[in-house]
This record gives sequence, C-alpha cells and structure tokens, in this order.
Amino acid sequence: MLKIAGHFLIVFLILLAGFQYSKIGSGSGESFPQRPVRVVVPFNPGGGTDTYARILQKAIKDNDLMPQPLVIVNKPGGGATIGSNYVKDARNDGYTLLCLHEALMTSHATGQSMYGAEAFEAVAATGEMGQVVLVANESLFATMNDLMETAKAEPETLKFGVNLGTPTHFSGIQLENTLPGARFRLVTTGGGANRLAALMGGHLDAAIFSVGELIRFRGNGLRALAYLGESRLDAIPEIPTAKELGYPVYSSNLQYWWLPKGTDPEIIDYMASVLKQAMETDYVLERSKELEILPRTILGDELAERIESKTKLFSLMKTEQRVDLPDVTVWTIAAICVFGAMVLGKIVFGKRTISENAKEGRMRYDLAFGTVGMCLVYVLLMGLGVLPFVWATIAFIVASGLYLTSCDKRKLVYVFEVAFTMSFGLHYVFTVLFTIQLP
Amino acid sequence: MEAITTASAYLFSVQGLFLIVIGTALGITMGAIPGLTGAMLIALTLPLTFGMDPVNAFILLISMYVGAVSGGLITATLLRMPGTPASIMTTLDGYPMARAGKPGRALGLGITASFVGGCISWLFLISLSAPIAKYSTKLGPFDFFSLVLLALVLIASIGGKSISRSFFSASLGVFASLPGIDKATGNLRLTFGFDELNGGLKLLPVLIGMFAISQIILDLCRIGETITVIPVKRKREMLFKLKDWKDQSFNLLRSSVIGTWIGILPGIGANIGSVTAYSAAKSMATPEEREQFGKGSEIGIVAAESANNATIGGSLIPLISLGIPGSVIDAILLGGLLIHGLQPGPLLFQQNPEMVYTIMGSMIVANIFMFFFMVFAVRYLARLASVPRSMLMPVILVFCIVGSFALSTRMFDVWTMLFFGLLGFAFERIKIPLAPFVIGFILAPIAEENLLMGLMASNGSYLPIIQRPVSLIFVVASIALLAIPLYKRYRLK
Repeated sequence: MLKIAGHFLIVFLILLAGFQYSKIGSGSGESFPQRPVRVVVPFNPGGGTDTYARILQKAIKDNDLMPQPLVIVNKPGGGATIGSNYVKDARNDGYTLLCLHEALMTSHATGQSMYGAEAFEAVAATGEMGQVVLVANESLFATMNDLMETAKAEPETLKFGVNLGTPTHFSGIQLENTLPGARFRLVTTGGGANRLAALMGGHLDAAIFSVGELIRFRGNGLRALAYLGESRLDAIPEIPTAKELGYPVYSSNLQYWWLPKGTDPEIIDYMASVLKQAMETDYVLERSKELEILPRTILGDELAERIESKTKLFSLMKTEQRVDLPDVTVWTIAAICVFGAMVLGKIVFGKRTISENAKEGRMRYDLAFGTVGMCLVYVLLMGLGVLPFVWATIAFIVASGLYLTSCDKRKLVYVFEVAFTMSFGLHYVFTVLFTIQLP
Repeated sequence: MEAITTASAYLFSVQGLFLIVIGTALGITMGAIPGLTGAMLIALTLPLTFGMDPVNAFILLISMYVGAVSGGLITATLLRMPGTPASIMTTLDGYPMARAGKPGRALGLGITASFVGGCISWLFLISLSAPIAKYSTKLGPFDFFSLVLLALVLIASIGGKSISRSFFSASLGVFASLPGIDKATGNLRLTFGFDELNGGLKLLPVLIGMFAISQIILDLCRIGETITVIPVKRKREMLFKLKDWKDQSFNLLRSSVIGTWIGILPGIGANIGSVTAYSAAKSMATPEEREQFGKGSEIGIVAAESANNATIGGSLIPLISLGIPGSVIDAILLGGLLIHGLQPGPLLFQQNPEMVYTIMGSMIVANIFMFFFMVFAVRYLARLASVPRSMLMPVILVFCIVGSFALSTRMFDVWTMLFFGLLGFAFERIKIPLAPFVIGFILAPIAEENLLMGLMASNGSYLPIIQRPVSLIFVVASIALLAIPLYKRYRLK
C-alpha cells in the first residue's frame, strides 16, 4: 500500500515539475529585455570584478531599474580570455554581456589573445580604481625619488612586483619610461594577496597595488610611495601623485561592460542608461566608498576615446621577456620520455610476475563500454543542443538502466522513477536554487 | 572579551545553531557525493548569503567547509571514490578494510580521526594565528618550489610498488597541467587551437574523471559480481575503544599537527595534508604495520582523515590573520569576506573581532556536530551508495556530468572528464598508479609559478634553491626520501 502511495507521490511530483518546466521559456514581445540578461564575469566568484558586478546586479534589482534581472555567470581562466571569447562569439541579441576591465586590451597587446576592444561593442565603463606603488615599512626607499634613482643607478636590480600581461605590468613599464635609463627587475607575482606576502617577506623591493588593496592591506607594515593618478585621492590625501614627483604616470582601471559586435545600438543605449542609473543609487555609492572605488561612469564618445587611447598606449609598450626562463614544456616531455623508457624497460627486461588478472572473474567489458558509449551520445546530444538537459537525462537513464538490468520488468518502474526525479530534481536545484544554466 | 560574548550569542542562538546543522549536513552530503565538492557547494552558496548578516553567513559557510572535508570519507571508504579531493588517501586503506568485512570499523576510524583532527587544529587556530602569520611571509618562491618537489617525491614513494611508474605517472600529470597560458611569456601553449584550453584543464573534471569515471567503468565491468558497496550494520563498532585511543593517540597528534602545518602554507590544502601525514605514518610504522598499508591499515585511515580535517584549522590561520587563502575553499571564503565588506588581516582582529571569534567558534561547534551527525547518519548516507549498481551507475554518471558542467557552464569540461576517465581506466589496467598523476597535475602550476617568480627575482640564478635554509631542508629531505629506499634495495641484493 505504502509503495503504491509512494509511486503516486512521485508521479504527482513529476507532473508538477513538468508543469513548472513548461512555463519557462514561453512568452514573447517587442521591448528589450524579455528574459534575464546574462553577465559573463571571466573570473572566479569573489574576485574584484565579480564583487563589483554583483553590487551593480543588486542595485539594479533592488531599485527595479530593469524589468528582468541580471544573472551573473562566472567563466574564469585563461587570463579572462575564456569569458571574453565566449561573449565575443555569443549571439548579438543583447542578452549576453561581458564585464571585464582593461585586461581585455592588455592581453591583446601582449599577444595573449587575438582580439582586443575592437571585437566588442563597449557599453559603459564604471567605477575607477587607482593604483599605488608600495614598499615595506622598513624599506630603505623613503620616497618615490629614491626608488626611481636607484632603478637608474643600478638597473635591473630592484625587484618590482607586477602581474605579467595585466595593467600592473604596463604601469611598471610606464614608470620606467618616465626616467631614461631606469629599469626594474620585473617579477611576476600573480594576484594582490601573493604580491603582499612577497613584499612583506622581503622577496620584493616594491610593487604595484590597487587603491582598494592598499586600504585592505593597510596596517600590515606597508608604505605607499605614490599614487598613479592625476590628482590626490580623497581617501588617501597624504599620498602624493607620481605626477607631482616628476613621474607622470596615470594608471587607473575601470570595469567595462561589453556586448558582442553588431548589437542593436538601441540595446546598447538602454543597457548604458540602466548601468548609469545603477551607479547613482545609494547602495552603489555606499559600497564603492567601502571598496575605495570612485563611482565614475564613462559613456558614449568619452568611452570610445578612452578605449582608443588606452589601446594605443598599450600597443606601444614593449613587454619582452627580460630573464632567461626554462622551457617547462620541454623538460616535462623529457621527463615523460625518461620515466616511460624506464617503465618500458622494466616490462620488457624485468622478471615476469604471474598476472593478477587471472584471479579476476569474467570482465564485462561489453556492459562497461556500452554504457560509456551511451554516455558519450548523451553528452553529444546536449553539447550539440539537440536535446535539453531534462529530456536527454531521462533518455540516458532509462536507456542505460534498461540496458544494465537487461530489461528486468520488476525494475522498470524504478528506472523510470529515478530517471524523472533525477532529471527534474537536478534541473530544479541547479537552475532555480543555484541559478546555473544547464544545456 | 566582549567580542567573544557577542560571537557566542550569535553561535548559540536558534538561528546560529540551525545554520550550523544545515551547513554541516549539506557539506557532508555534498562531500559524500562524488563529483560534487565542498568548494563547489561553498562557491554556489556564497551568492545566497549576500542578503544575510555577515556573521550568520560565515557560520553557514564554515560549517559547510567542515562538513564537506569530512563527508568525503564515506564514499572513499565504501565505494573507493573520494567524495572530495581531500579523501583520496582514505581510499587506499578505507576501501580494502571495508571490503574485508569491516566497513563500520573503517568509517568509525575515519570519523573519530576527523573529529580529533579538527579539534587539534582548532587549538592551533586559536593560539597561533598571529605568530604563524608572521612566519609564513618569510617563505620565498624558491622555498615553495622545493616544498612542491618534496611533496612530489613523497607521493611517488607511496604511490605504488614501482617508483619509476609513479614518476612516469607524475610527469604525465605535470604535462596535463601545462596547456593554457605560459606563465613566463604570457603566450598560449599546447592548446592545439582549442580556445577552451586557454585556461588549461580544470582540476575538478580531471579529478572526477581519473577517480570517479575510471572506477565506474571498472565497476560496470564487474557488474555481474556481488555488489561491493558495503552495508554498515552496527553503530557500536564505530566508536573508539580505550585500546584504540592508546594505540592511535600519537598517530592522531602527529597527523593533526602535519595537517595543520600543511594547511597554514598557502595554496596547498586538505589533499596534500593527508598525503603528507599518510606518508609520514607509513615511514614511521614498524615493518609489520607497513605491510598493512594499502590493504586496510588502521594507521593509514587515521592519519589521512585526521590530517585532512586538521588542514581546515590550519588554512583558516593565514586567511583570517593575513587575508591570504590557504586552500581553494579558503580562496572562496576570502571572496565572501570581501563581499560582506570585511577586510581580513590584522585589521579584522581590531575592527571586527566578533567575526574572528565567530569563524573560530563555528569551526569547533560544526566539528562537534559533524561527529554526531556522521556517527548516527552514516548508515543512511551510505545507502546513497547501496542502491542497486545497475541503477546507481547511470545516476552517478549524470552527477559527474552535471557537476563538471556547472563549474563554468561549458561542455568542454564534461569531455575533459570523460577523457580522463578512460585514461584512468587504461592506467589501472596497465598498473600505473593514479595518485601521482593527480598530485603532479595539482602541484605543477604552483611549482612552476614559484620557480619563475624566483628566477625573475634572482635574475635567472638557480642557486637560491640550495642557499635559502628552508629550501635547502626540503631539497635534502627529498634526496633522502629518494636515496634511502634505493640504498635499502641495493643492500638487499
């Protein structure tokens, strides 16, 4: 009796889930946006760009600036090229945005990616983050002048921390260019936290940080020598600008919002106005202050000008490698060959041991590879977009379940139950609770 | 003092306790499902906590962390699939012991070891945060490089019977970590024109493939045999007896201290902690005990599980005292602190001491709850695995596929996972150990980055590797670890 009730319950839930599911994706109209707009953040959740995008997302939602929500999608890796590449190739219907700072331009200048800003439609640039040059408290360099003169007197000895191929790298080179003959020993350090540890441990002489990082790390025994901006910053009034000291370097970074090339100009203008309104909300102003980000918004011609001048600036700089570094690829392949030869040698010349396989029972390779084959078809169907996740999953579980149980009639009901609960359940958990789009 | 009162008021409120129960239980469940890891759970929960009070948010997240690292031992023991990367080492002994008819004993050892490991590392967390933070900045890039070298030698010496096979496996693992952006030049390497490879192969798809998929294929081959998912009957055999405490107390202490110490070091977390403690336990065991390693050694299970839980307390030390993550999960937690407008570092101790004490407090409360929950619920959690094999395998396959896909919502990761599943199956067939491959794959980027950083700082000179005292110690230890077995074998002949 209980069992029958259980079956009914599951069937009921399936029907309910199916009903819910059928509602998604219906509806059409004229004005943009008709469905949630995805914002691709090409970094991990919790990073600077991600944090910032989510602040704007919340402001837009809480103040009803858009009839549909923004959905943040993280696509990290490859120096942001995975996310940017994804948006570059996305449909230009306005429903896929990229939120990425000037790394889009710098990675093109260093040859990391084949495209730069020209492959996108720029919507807006929001929130300006300044950069500062830091040394450890006990450093011998009292002023920016000391640092630069030493870099000139003893070129390539000062260990200067940057992140290769990113805006910090270019700031380092820009600083060198202001004093002929000055050369740092540029050291790549990865993210801000690593750079901080290296600076504090005495593994670096100086390093570039963002203003936000300076505020966050202040009190850890660090001293700022200069702010790389046009005029002093309210939050750190005691720190002189590099320009005042005779090294005119302006380096700031903004979060740019990009749409795929060829997007309808009306949609671009609409998104720009939504972002501008969001930037003016109390919430954004308050959070920007906390994070030491200037709540600046650049749109239209000014934006185009900035992108053009930055692209030109980056492309003019030389980012050649300064130290002979080992080719890790060659060494790894050599190691594989050496150890592979040792293993082969042992197999060929070594003593034969009695195969343990003999003890094993009959191996059902047919079942294993049959199921793996079905699995490949299943992934292929979803990958090519032939079937959506729910139906493909039901089909896969039913097919492989029947195959593995040799169509046992007693298990038939369970196979279907598992198939339906798994597919609808997972779909619900991921798309509704975790807001992850399944294929 | 006032901050401690505030923090306990939060922790022991109805809401606080509810969050700990939910967080720990969810963490254990996620940890117990291969393919879904704690890192993923925490990363996915983070956005849900935006609307919450930051203190409550961190009670939830820390509980999930504790639960996820602990939950992995269930499937590691009963299915030989590490539910999370942290319990790779538990598969080596937990599974053989469970197969030998003592699943309850194997789980019980793991659970109690996890609990003790968590408690010991918690003591370090509350007492050592400030002084340890000062020390960790003294380690330079070359020190990290030598440390990774040492870890690779360690894994090769325990990976299997043959050191050359282990090194072969490890070097292939290093190779698999190479595609993507060359850290020295910033150019792409070994991507063969696939844009998806720009970011390299992701850890999770490779790991799920190597360990879960290859095991599924193997299980499917043996589907005719009786199911090896082992039922757990009696609860009593899960608890430590007086004799166990006497036998294992030194092992528990040593492994927990190693785990804590590895946790403190940036970048390496629970998996390396348990690898290192396991190797240490093996090398310090008597010959009769050593014979048992890999066949169901109690010492091995206790070492691996106490160490991986001990890394939690250890890795929280640099996180809260310097704002530098000690592991992948801590990197996500760091992001969480920043989203909630909190600046970790010495400033956090001054400005938000209640946050510091909440993190410390929720770790110990979640640890205690984890122990009871695991002891009472492990049999039911294990049922997740005792579903008929013909039903379970397709379901686990779907979980692995969805888990890999959800990481960065792309099919490429799913293909990667399937590829490494077939590769792992092939490795097993020709008796090449899988663990060195995975360890090489995880550690190579850390080693490469630090080597390049060191070389750029030393202007291309390799000498600091043996000039820096810490680095020298690691290098000497690696050479000794390699030389001693070779010398012994030579003498035997």
